[in-house]
Amino acid sequence: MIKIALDRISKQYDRKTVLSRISLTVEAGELLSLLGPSGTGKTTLLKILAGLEDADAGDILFDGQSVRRLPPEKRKAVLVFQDYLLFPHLTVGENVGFGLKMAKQSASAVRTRVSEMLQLVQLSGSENKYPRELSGGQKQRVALARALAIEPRVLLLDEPFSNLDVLLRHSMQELVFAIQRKLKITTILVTHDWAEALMFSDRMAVLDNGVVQQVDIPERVYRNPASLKVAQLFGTSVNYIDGAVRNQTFLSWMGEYRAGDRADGPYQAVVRPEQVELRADAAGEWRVQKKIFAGQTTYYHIGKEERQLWAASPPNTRHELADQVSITVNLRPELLFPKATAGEDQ
Amino acid sequence: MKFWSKAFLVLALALLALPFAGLLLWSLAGEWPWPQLVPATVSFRGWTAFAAMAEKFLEAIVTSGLLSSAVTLLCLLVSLPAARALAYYQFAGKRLIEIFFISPLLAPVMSIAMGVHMQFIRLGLADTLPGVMLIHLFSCLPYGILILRDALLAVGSQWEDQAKVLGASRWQAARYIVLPLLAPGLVAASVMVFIVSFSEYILTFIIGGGKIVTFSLLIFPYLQGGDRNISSVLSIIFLLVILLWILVLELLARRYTGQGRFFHL
Amino acid sequence: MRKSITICLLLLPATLIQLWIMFTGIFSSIEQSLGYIPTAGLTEISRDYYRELLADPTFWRSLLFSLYTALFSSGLSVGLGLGLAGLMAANFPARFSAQQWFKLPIIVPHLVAVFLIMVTLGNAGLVDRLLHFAWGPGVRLPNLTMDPWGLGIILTYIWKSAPYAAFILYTFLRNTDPRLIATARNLGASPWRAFWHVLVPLLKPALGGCFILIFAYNFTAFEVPFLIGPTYPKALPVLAYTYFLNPDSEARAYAMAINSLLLLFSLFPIWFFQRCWQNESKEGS
Repeated sequence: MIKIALDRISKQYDRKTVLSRISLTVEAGELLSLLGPSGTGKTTLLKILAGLEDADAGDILFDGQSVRRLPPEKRKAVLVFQDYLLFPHLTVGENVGFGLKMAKQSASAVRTRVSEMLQLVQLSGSENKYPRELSGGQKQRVALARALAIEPRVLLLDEPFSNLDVLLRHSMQELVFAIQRKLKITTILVTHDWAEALMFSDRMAVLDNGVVQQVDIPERVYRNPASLKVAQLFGTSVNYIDGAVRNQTFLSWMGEYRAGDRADGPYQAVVRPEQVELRADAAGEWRVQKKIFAGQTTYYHIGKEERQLWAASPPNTRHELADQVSITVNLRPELLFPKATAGEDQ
Repeated sequence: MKFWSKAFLVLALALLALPFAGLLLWSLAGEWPWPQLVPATVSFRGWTAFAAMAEKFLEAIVTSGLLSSAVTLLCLLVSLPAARALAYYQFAGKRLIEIFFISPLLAPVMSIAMGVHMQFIRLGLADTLPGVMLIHLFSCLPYGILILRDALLAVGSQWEDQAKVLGASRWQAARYIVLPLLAPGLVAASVMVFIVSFSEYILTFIIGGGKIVTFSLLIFPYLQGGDRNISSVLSIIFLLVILLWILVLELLARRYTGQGRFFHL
Repeated sequence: MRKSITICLLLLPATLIQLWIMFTGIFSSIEQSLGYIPTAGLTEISRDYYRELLADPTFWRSLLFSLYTALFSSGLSVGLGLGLAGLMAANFPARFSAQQWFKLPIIVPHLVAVFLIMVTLGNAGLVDRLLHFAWGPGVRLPNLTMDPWGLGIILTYIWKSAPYAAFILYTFLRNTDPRLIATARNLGASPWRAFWHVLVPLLKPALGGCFILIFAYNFTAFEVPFLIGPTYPKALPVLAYTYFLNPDSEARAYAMAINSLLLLFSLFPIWFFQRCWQNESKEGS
């Protein structure tokens, strides 16, 4: 169990800044997920941590010790790549035992450790298979076993589940994160899947434009996003309402809402579809224009004259096309963002 | 349509194969008067003629074999680093370097050899084995670099990274991961380079000055001369040597990687 | 910084060897072509060798002959290769086991290829006999060895390069997404039009590259025209070689003048190849 500290890590490619003075700590045994749009240097950061790329500036500390000058093979920071990279010419057993063999452990010690690891990932007895004989989920588990076999100080997962279909993804997530909790390995998970990050990580870090936008526990990142960018990460069918704050009140076409302690000025409110409540109301001014049934939730696109909104309702509420409805918007002051930054971002 | 296109393919393959049939027939023909389709009598005249001069030919085959093997080895050693730079690194002037490495395939190598000959005389390389090896190496380098570059690109650099983060040193990663994965490419490059070097006539003649007698040099007058029996036998032996080399390389690679068949030419 | 050093070190051995040989080869060719051959007692720089060479009709006949055989053989090879590759891809989209056979001419050296063409298409060769067998006496192949039209040269080169081009282009075709053709068919193109309008444009860089590599080789190679070509006109490399072997030291200067012109001419294939390649990487990205 070690604690990782990144100290002002910067990296450029072809004069394009990918990472700009990134400082971040990962507590011992913690699972931190790195979230952000593609091309924001998440994978680069993992490679820098693993020692496969060198940062242009800054330092990496494992338990207070700089590892920046340590070559990848001495760091014990194992990166599990997105496409698993099981060595195709080696058997499952040889793959899992690879790191131990490189460390010149005895054949019998390697054999014991390999079977232990395969048992951990529920693949006992497949030592002699070749990677091409495995399914996607099995490959994933072998890759994990291979990484864990060398008792890494840090586990780095690069979008580990993105190649799996939805059903398999859920069971693999359960398995992998249960193992991570059990072994208490300090882990960084890069992912595109915000739901995965919310459900499984101890803390999340949101990266954008080479800068850390926010680091916090998942619930707070979801509820109190630090910027519009962060708010935009979660979910689809989000409504953006332009307005202005005067005297701690947000004014827009929707009406007046409490704006907490926000300073005066133009603002944009992020209204997630679940914040728009619908009620069947024959005298309602809103009309259902589109209905998208998505199983656990149903999305409604509603309109009033030129105004449009997305709403999400639990499955027990039922509105049909052209139904008249009235709405309640639960606007939250935490989701108000100054318009200047919003304009910059768009 | 389907029928005709298949018929065309079969015809093409037949035209490809027909010369080999001719080669076999002539190597065993005795009396074969015009215009008979097959020889009237079978004779081993070509083969006995070869056997009578076997010592001379075998010596040339051994010289050629050793020369071309050495050239192949050298070529791979020099090509591999260059191919690696081209495959895995981005740098300014990469295009220029690539065109430069390919240029011997587009320029008259024979003219360069004639020019170089004078310098080789001054350096004492003319008429010597090292001199011939050097000029062969020059004409083989583009094949080695291009084939290995493509092979490295196909393999990708991520395997090496994966091996390293699992604790493999640079040499361990090369030995246990990169070389086995690269084996098909190495075989392909070795086969091609060997063929180019083994078949080389004019460069060997210009730089070797007739002192270095390779198999190509020795059979050249026979192919020119016109005794079809002997020429056929010599051609068959030439092809057999090359096939043998391919076979040996494949077996070596298969033993090393412990799997697969490549049949790479 | 460390990265640049690594790159330099990796490139160094190959670059040094190639640069040294190319530079001395080119420099020495030019030097000798200008009449500076001290070992032969020639030390006076002059342009006379070029002047006389360019005034000599033999040189021009040789140049034209080389250009003509190289253009025809490489053009026909690529054309045939494209046809074969297209037919193979159409008939055997998954995998054509016979494609391996198309590699066969690669392992056959030019020396042997010449002999193979002689026994097949030469006087009293296999095809000659087959024609006689099929259509009776009186039907004979025209003479293809040492013929003034260089047909033997062209046929040898085609036998060597067409299967090679077919193999390369077929590999290319198989690596292009088969759904492209499916999409074109789906949008109403006939198989032929789909091939011509979708695949051939994609293949253009490969076609150009293939053509220029074969052309450059056939234009400057010695063995084939020497063995199966006519005594007049000689192909340019054969002419250079004849001068080179001539014990007269001035002949050597002529040889080097031809070499220098051949080297100068090779800028064209290099430029052409570079252009094809640029297009390829543009479309690739």
